[in-house]
Amino acid sequence: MALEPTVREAMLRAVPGLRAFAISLSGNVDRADDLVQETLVRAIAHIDSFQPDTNMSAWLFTILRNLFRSEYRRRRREVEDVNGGYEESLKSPPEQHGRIEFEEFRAALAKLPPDHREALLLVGGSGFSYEEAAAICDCAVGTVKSRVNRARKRLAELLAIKEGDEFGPDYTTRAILTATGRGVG
Amino acid sequence: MVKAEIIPTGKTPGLLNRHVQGKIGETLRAMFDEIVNEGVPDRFSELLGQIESRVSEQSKGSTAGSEAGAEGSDRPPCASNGDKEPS
Repeated sequence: MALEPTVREAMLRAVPGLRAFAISLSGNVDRADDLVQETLVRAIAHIDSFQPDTNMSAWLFTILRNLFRSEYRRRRREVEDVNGGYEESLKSPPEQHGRIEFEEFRAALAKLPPDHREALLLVGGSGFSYEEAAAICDCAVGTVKSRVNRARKRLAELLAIKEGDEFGPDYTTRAILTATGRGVG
Repeated sequence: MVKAEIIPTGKTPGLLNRHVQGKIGETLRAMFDEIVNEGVPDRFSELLGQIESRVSEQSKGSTAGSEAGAEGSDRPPCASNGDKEPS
């Protein structure tokens, strides 16, 4: 029983988005790719429970999200640096623009409670609607909205506080100036 | 058509906050785009084929062997307990 070609294609099409979500969620490329792999394994094993008229991508995100959560609960007992290993595991050389900006951003993301982080990533990064995100997280739409808001607020605080001056140059400009070696004095 | 209904609550933090919020959204999308643009690593397309055959072997049970032999490849299918020749 091979996969329907359309199902197979839909799965592969979802992979880049799944990786983006998993990398941002876990902060580690290798761990994220393992998560995506395990997601595909489970999806194929349970392909019978996939409703053809529904969104393959959302279904896969649900599986990945649940895998991450159970793994997270397991790992919590161990000492873990959620952001550790990201740079070492980068496959491609850092791009000139934005690397430092992303680093700073990822560090801030890692400080968010997992519930808030996943909600923000699904809505702000993956582009799901609040309703879709609520279905993926198995919670109420209002809960997703409040988690996203709190995540945004906390991120803003974290990134602003890092500037040391809430009205100072925004962190992006500063990061780009630093990256291009012009410094900010 | 789209009416901007953003009315500051009367305090500067609202303005600053919106600025930072905009940056957060941009950074998040840029971060995702960068990864999405890497496309599908070979690992996953290969994996999909492998899982498919593994899953179908599991679901087909004992009939799995007959297909593998049909191509007449010089490599034996994955070593299973019984087939291995003692060396």
